This record gives sequence, C-alpha cells and structure tokens, in this order.
Amino acid sequence: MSTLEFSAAAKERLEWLRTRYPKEHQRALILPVLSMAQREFGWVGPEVVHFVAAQIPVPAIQVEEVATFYTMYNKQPIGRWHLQVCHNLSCSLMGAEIVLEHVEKKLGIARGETTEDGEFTLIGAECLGSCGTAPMMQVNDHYHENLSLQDVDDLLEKLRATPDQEANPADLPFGCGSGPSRALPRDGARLEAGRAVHVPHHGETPVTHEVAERPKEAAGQPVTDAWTPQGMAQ
Amino acid sequence: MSYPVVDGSRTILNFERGTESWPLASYESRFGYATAKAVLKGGKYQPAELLQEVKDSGLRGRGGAGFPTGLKWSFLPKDPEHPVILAVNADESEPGTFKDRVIMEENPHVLLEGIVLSCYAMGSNSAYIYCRGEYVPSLKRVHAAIEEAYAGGHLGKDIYGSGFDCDVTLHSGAGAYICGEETGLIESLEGKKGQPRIKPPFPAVYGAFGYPTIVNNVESIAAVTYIAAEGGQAYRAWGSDKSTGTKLFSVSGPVKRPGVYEVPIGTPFKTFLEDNCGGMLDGVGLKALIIGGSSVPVVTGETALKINMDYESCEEHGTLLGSGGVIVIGEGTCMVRSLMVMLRFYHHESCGQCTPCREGTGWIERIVTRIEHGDAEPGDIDELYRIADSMELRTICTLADAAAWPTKSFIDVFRSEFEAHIEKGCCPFGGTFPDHLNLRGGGVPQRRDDPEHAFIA
Repeated sequence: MSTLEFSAAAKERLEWLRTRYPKEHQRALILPVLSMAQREFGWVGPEVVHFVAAQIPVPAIQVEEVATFYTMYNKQPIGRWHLQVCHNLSCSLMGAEIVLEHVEKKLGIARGETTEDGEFTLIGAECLGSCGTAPMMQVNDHYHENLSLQDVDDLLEKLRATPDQEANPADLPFGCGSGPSRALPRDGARLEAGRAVHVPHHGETPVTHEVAERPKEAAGQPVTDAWTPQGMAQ
Repeated sequence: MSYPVVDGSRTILNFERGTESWPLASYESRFGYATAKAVLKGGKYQPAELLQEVKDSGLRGRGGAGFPTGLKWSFLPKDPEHPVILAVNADESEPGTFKDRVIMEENPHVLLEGIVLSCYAMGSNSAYIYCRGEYVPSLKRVHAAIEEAYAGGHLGKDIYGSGFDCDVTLHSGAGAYICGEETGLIESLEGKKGQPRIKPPFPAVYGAFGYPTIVNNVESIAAVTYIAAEGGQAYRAWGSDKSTGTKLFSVSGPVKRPGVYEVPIGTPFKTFLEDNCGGMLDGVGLKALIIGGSSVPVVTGETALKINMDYESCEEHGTLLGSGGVIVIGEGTCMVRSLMVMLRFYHHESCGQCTPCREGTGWIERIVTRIEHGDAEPGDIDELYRIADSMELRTICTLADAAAWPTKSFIDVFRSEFEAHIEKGCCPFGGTFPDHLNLRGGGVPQRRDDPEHAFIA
C-alpha cells in the first residue's frame, strides 16, 4: 500500500479541480495533480506516479508519460535549492555563461549536479522569459534578475541560511515547485527506492510488490535525465 | 469616461509604470470592466456585431503566426454540438519573448475582461488560461485576479444579470516549449504529452476534449478589450492597412533600456531603438537583429535600421515580425556561437514525434557545435543547408522550420564567420560571448534597471 497522502489543502484543491474539467475528460487533471504532488512530496518517483494515477483515477502509464515528457517534474531527488541559470541566447548575450561558470566554481559542481550536502542542484535552463533582465537565475519558485557576480555570491549565502519551510512553500495552488518540500527531510530519508505499487483500474485494491532495487541516488551524483525522451541540454 | 490610452499608444499597458496596477480596484479606475458591462448588460453589441468589430480591427494573432483573430473565430461551427472552449495561450516560451508575462503580472484584469468579451463574441462559456509552469509570479497574479473577478461578479454565472455565463480556469504547464503550439497546447490541456496534432481537423472544429476550441495568445485577447470599447476602426488608427493597432515588443540584449514597450505597429526600428530603448550600451555597436523571437531569420544591423516593425516591412527585409521578441546582438558577438546556443534549445524542445525534427535538430546542433569548437569537417556548411532543407515543411508542426530558418539565415547573412571558424580551426571570438555588462570587472560596470521607461516585470 502506498503510504503517501495529500495534505488537507491539497485534497480540497483536488476536489475543486475535478469540477473544472469535463466529467468524461478527467485525464486533464494529470498535470495539475502531478504538480501538486511534486510540491507535496518533493519529486516524482514511481510511487508518486502511481499515487497520482489512483487519485484521478487514470492508468499509471498515462501519468508516467506526462511525468517523463515535461521538464519541470523531477524524476530524481534534487537539492534543497534548484538553481536554474538561463543560458539561452538573450541571457548568453548578457553574460549567462560567466554566471554559470562562476556558480560551478563556487559550488564545486558542474551543471546537472548536486552538491554533496544536498543544498544545491545546478542546471543550465532554456529561456525562462526573463530576457530583458538578463542574466538571471531561477531558484525554486523565484526569479533573481539583473545579476552581478556579487549578487550571486550574496544570494547563495542567503539561501544556505534560509530555513526549510521557506524553500518550497507547499501552499501555492499551482506551479510544480522545484525543490523537496517540508515533507521530506534533507538527510536522504526520502522516498524508499525499490518499492513499486501496481494500481489496477477502477478502484480495485492496489497491490504492492517488490521490484529490483534501483540504485540509491546519493547526494553529489549527477541528476541525469535518462528517463526523459528529450534529454537535458547538457 | 472613455478607455484611457497612455502615451498615445499604450492600450494594454495603459497605466503608470511602477504603480500597483494589478488589483481590481486599480483596474476599475482605468475604465475596467466598463466595456464588459456595456456589452453584456447594456446591449452595446450582439455577439455577431462584436465579432465583426474584431474583424474590422484587423487584429492579427500576437503569438507569432499573425493569423487574423476575427477570421479564426469565424471558423467555429454555427450550431456546435459541444460547448465552445477558449484556450488562452500563455505558454510564452519563444526565446526573447516576455511580453505576456508583463500583461499577466501588471494588468491581469485586462486579459480577463478580454476573455469575457471574446467568449461572448464566439459563443463560449468556458475559458482556460494555459500558463507556462515556470511563470510563478504570473500564475499568482492571474490566480488572484480570477478570484477578485469572481467575487466582483465579473466572472461566473449570469454576469451583471445578463444571463451570460463565463468560467475561467487557470491551468499551469510543466515546462515544454512545444505546448505553445496550439494543438500541442490542446493535448497538454487534456493531460497528455504536448505533441502537436495533424491538421485538419482544425481546433475550431475539433479541439480540446473534442470540443470546438479557439486558441489565442494573451496579447490578442487583451487587445480585444480596447477593440470592444472603442471599435475596430479606432484600433486601425495605428499601423497600416495590413498591420493594424499597437504591439508589445520585448527587447533584450545590449541596449540601455531593455524591457517591454507597447508602440504603434510599424514604428521604425531605428526610432524605437533610440527613443524607447535608449540606444545601444556605451561602446557597443549594433551587429545584428532578431526581431520576432529566436525562430525568425536574423538580419544585419544595417538592414535592421531600415525595418519598420510591422508584418509587411519585416517580410520585405527577409524576416518576420513573429512574437515581437526583439533580440539585439552587439558587435563582437560570435554568430556561430549564437546559433549554437539557439539550436541547443530547439534540439532540447523537439517533442520527438516527427523524424526530420527529432533527428534534424540534433544533427544541425552537433554540426554547428563542432564548427564553433574548431572541429569542423569539410562540407559542413553545405551539409547544414541540406539538413535544414530536409527539415522544412516535412513535420506536423513548425518547430522544425523554426530551427531550420534561423540556421539558414545565420549562414546566409554571416557566411564569412562560419568559414573563418572552419579555416582557422577555432572560434575567432575566443569561444565566448562578449562581457557587455563587465561582469568580470576591469571596466566600468553597466547596470540597466530603469523602471522609468520600460516595463520590466
């Protein structure tokens, strides 16, 4: 049995969402409910996919294909702060590559990696619509724009000192969230790997069965994107 | 009181910069929802009359394709079997474009009023705003605006006692450029991968959930508010016969005042650059221009200064108005590196459905990357043309074309730079972009935040 459960606020929002799409087309709930789940549980692993499928309900494969198509769903645990430096053309013209290199040096990681303490995951992102205020970096839900290297240093220091509950507010009724939420402690005790839940259609009792254990994602290992059909830019 | 227009042409961004322009009270002080009241309650227009006004205005889709908005609406079936849906495209992801974000963050109610009016004209009672998931500030503002509008009786059942219902739902995407394509958006709204559909059937006949659906850009719908207030002819006061009205341009690159400007369509780029954007950063010359988001062909700085920013003039000079995402490229910028960065994006964002796009975007990215890194092979330039030609017009949507066109135009216009890379076996610009902002120090740092002029969200 899945041990996951939505918070009261999320449950309420789920019921409201059901009324916003045609009754025969409840599959439309997959994106908003997955986003909500990522905000609640931190990342989208197999257990979350099956949980979301059971909530709507739809076959798990339909949730899986959405979770792997869109880049904002994290298929692996990521650092507490998800640093996304836009490196598309407008930002590159204004120094995004300099900012990226600076962050890499400062944190001792390459793009696509997470720091050993689990604080930061760094990626080079594609256009985030902040072209006039380049260079910029999205950190979880927030845009930080018109950056100088000094701003970047100050920001990283400030982030380290920011408490968990402010990292990824769970009360936003939309958006995917980018970092692990309050539900998951930072010490690696995240969702159990190796447990998959088979969710049959239409309300039968879910069956839990053991599958071969997936390698544990140790902090500091690259966040690969092998699950996605598109692959990351790097 | 009539519809306020600021600075002679600001109809959507018609408020003072830097003020709290987004709450309902502020919007109501700017003629807000007066038009919706006059139309729904006062009987100013029957739906068919309002549709005619939109047609008369000459408004063309502001998302990039420039298809006439009124004409699009008229493709809806006359007696639809299913409810009609308006899907507002707020999945703004075209590199260089950030205008819709400013509308949603600074003036969300003008979009909502436009939605009510558009729904009335097309006979719809249900609208979805599909906003890209990264735009958390936009999502917050639009979400709050929808709640205010419901509470204020501007949305919901029986608006102003007119018997007309209009429900608006905010739907967040999750990071996929392709969902800005209208059928990709529809698939995504249905809870699927955002892979575009084959047309026909067109969305107006068979769209979201199989219902007749109209997909319009945020700016197009926001413009309907002014058109309904003052009439289609008034909108034509700006621009030319084929390009009418005002347009939002989002400017990025090494200019003094980047940001979003609403100006009459057809404004000469030279005037726009000097008067609105404050000119280029000190000591930086204008090398090239991408005027309509990264998918349109590039032009040289010299050509750019001859362009009037409307559909016809852009085409005349070998480019397209697109989404109005103006990317200014300064002297000292390597065009091969610029193209490499753009192609990395298209390769990343190809949905993988059609072979010419899925494979082609990767091939051209790899070839341009090896040219930039000095590892080119003989015949690489010809190979790029050959691959780009076999991508064009061979796929379900235009993402492949959006990668092929800039590739060909970059080589057409800056061929000597590609050849220099190949001959020298390295990037003559040192394999990096110029440090216009002096981030590394050593010169006078240039900061550009200037809320006095541009709209910057």
